[in-house]
Amino acid sequence: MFTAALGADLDTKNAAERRVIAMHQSFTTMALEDGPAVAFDAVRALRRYRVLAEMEARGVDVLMVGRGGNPKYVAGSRGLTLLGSRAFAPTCVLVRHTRDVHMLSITDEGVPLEIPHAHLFPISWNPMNLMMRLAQVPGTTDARMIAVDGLTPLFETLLRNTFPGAELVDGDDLMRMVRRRKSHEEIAIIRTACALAEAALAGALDALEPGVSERELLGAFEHAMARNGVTTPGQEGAFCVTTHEPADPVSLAGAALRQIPGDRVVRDGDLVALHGIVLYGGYEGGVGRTWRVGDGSPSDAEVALAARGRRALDALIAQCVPGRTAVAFRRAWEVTGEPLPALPIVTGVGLGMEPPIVGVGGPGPGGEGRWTIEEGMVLAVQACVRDPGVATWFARETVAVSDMSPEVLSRFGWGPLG
Amino acid sequence: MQPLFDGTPDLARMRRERHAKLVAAMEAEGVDVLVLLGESNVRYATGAHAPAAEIGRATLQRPVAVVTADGWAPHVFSAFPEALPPELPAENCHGPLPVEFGGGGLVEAIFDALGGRPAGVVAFDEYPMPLHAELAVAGLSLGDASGVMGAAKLGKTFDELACIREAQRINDEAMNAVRPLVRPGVRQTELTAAFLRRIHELGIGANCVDPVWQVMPSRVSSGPYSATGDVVFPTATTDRILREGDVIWTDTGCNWNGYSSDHGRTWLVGRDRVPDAHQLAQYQRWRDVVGRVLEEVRPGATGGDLVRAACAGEPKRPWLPHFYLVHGTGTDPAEAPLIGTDLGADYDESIVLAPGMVMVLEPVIWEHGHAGYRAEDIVAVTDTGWVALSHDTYHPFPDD
Repeated sequence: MFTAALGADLDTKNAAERRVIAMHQSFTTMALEDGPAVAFDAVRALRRYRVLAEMEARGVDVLMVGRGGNPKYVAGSRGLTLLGSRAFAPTCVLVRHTRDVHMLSITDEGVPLEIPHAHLFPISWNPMNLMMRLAQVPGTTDARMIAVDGLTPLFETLLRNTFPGAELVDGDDLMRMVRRRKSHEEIAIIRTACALAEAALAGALDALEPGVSERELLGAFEHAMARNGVTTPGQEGAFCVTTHEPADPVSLAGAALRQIPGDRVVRDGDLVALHGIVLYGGYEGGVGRTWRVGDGSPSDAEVALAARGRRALDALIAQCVPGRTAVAFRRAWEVTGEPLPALPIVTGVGLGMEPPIVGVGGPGPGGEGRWTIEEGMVLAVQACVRDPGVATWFARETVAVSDMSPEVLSRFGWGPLG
Repeated sequence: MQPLFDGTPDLARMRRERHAKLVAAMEAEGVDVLVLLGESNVRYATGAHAPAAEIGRATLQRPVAVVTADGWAPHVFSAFPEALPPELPAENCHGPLPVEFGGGGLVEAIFDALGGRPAGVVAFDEYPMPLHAELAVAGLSLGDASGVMGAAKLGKTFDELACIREAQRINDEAMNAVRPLVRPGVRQTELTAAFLRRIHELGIGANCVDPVWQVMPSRVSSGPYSATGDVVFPTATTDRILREGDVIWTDTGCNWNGYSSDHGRTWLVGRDRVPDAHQLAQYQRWRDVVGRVLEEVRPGATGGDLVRAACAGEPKRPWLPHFYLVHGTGTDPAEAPLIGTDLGADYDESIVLAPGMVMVLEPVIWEHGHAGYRAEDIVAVTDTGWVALSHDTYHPFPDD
C-alpha cells in the first residue's frame, strides 16, 4: 500500500530493489533463484523514507537512536542480539540533509550494502571517543534540532556539550509515529515470524507430557525455533502450569499468568499456558494457547473456562479495525464481564514489542485514548481468564488491522480444550 | 589458593548485603534516592526481574526500583509479581510504572511510593523521554546513579560469586553437550538449538546473548571488512554449514539468579580433529598470557600491571582492540573492571584490584595466515590472589 505512493520519491537507481513481495513465497528460507522471499532492501528503503519524512515534518536535523527496535528500523543491520533492556547510547545516526545512516559497527558483516564503510564507527568504551565520532558525522555540528530516543545523565551532558547549538527533542515519539503502521512487506515478514513461532510451539507441544518441567518446555520451544533458523526469541516464553496456581497476592483484580517458566513439573490433566514469541528479520511473531496435558477428556468446567476465554479473545479481535482509539479494547473487554487480567490485553507488534499497550503495563485509559487504531497496524491481542477452582486460560493472536475485517496472522489449533 | 566460598548461595542474604552496599554507596556519594530503570540495576538493588526479552519488549515491560538512603526496603514497580523477592513488604510492591509513556503522573507515582516529595538528591540511571520531560519541570535535585551502582557492584559477596560460579557451571555443561555436535555438515543454528535446549533443561534463569559460533578466517583480509584492521569478532550466527578444518570461536553467556556467565573457547571442526603445530603454538601463547596475568592478580595490583604482564614478549597487545583484556561480570554480562580498553593507560592504572572483584580474561592470539586462538576464563580476586570460577576443558587443545 505504501510502496506505490513511495515510487516517485525513491532514488531511481534503486528501482530494481523495489520489488513487490511474492506473498506466497514468504514462508520459505531457501535460496530462491528467482528472487528473495522477502525484499528486505525495499523494506529498509521504505522505512528510512518514512523516518526522513517525519524528521522533515518536525524540523529535526539529526536523529540519534539507540533503544529498542529504533536502530534496526533506521539502519536495518543484523547485529549480535543481546536480551534485556539497555540504557540509551547514540549507536545509530540519521542526518536529514544527507539522508545518510551512520552506525556503530567495526565491520560490514550484517550491515546493509547502502551503508558505506566510511559511515561505520567502531565500538568505544570511552564516551569522549564516541562524541568525537558523532561530531565527525557530516551535518551534526551545525544541527539545530537533534532528536534522541532516550537519555542518561552522562549522555545528556555529553550531547549538550558536544552540540551546544542544538535543541534535544523526543526522538522516541518520532519513531513511534513512524513505526506504528506497517507496509504490506512488513506484514508479510510478521506473518512469516508467526509461522516460525507456530512451528516452535509445535516443538514444545511434542514435549508436553506428564513429567516434563516448564523449563524443559521452554527448551523444546527454543530448540525447534533455532532448528528453523531463528536464534533469538522475542521473549523467553511462558510455558507455565496454570492449574491450581495460588492466587496472586499483588494483582487480585484479574487473572494473572506466571510468565517465567520454573521447575514445576507438568502432571496429567494440568492446563499449561504456552506463549512463544520469535523474531524474524527483527520482526515479532507470536502465538499463545492453553493446552490440557494427557489423553483424558477436559472437565465441563475446563471447557467452560476455555469458552469464556475464546469469547474475550474474539471480542478483542473484533476491535482490530481502523478509526477507534485503543481504549476501545478496554471497553470491549469490560463488556465481556471478565475482570481485566494482570497483563496487557493488547500490545503493538513490529520490530519487537511496540506501543500501543492496553491494560496492565500501559499508560491507562487516558493514554489509550490518545492512540488511534489505523490500517497497517499489527497487534497482539491477549485474553487471560481464571476460574479459581480450575485454572487460568490464556491465548494470544497476532492480528493485522486492514481496511476490511481484522486479519489474524497467527494460526494454530486449540487442542483438547477445543 | 584458598577457596573463597563453598556451598550454595543464600539468595536472601545476597539481596540484603547488596542493598546494604548500595545504601553505603549512596551515603558516600551524597545520594538520597535512587530511581533505577535498567534491568541489571533493578535486579541488583532488589532482586526483581522480568522475563528475558528482546530489547524493545524488555524496555517496555521492565520493573522500576526506588531505593532510599534511610536503608528501608526498596520500592518496586513491576508487572511480574512472580519475580519479586519474597521478603519485599507488600506495601513496597507496586503495579508497573509506565515510564515509557507520556501523559503525566510518573513523578507523582514515585512520590506516592515514598510518602511524599523526597528531599535531597534523586539519582537516575536513565531517562526515557516522557520521564525526562516530567523531570524537567519537577524541580528535583537530580543526580547520576552510575557512580553509586558502580561502587556497589564492583566487589562481589560470597553469594554473588556462588551465583556466577553456578551460571558458569551450567554454561560449561551446556557447551559440553554442544561440542560433540561440531562436525562437518552441521549448521551454526543447530548448535544454538542444542545449547538453548540444554541450558533450560539444566535450570538456567535466562539466556543473555545470541550464541556465537564464528568461523574464523585464516587472515583478516579473508574475513569480513574490519574498520580497525584487526580480526572481526563476534558476528551473529547464521545457518552457515560448518566444514572440515574450520576454526570456530565460541562465545555464549546465560544468567542464573541474575548473574552472567561467559564462555569462550576455540573449537576445530572435524571428526577427532586435533590441533596442528600452529594451532598448538597459538594456544600455548594464549595460556602463557593468561598465566602471566594471573601471576599479578592479587589485592593492590592495578589494571596497568595486568596489561603489562599480558603484553610482555608479545609483538602487540594480545586482545581485540575494540574490546579489552579483562572485563567483569555480574548482573551485567560486561561490567567493571574494564581493563585494556580505549579508556587508556591512566584509566587502567587507576583500577586497583580488591577481594571480590571478578575478572573475565579474554586475550586473543592472532597469527596472520593461520587464524588464531581465543578463549575466556573467569577468576575472582581473593585476599591473597585469585580463585577460578570457570573450570571447563580446552578440548580439543590439551588441558595440561
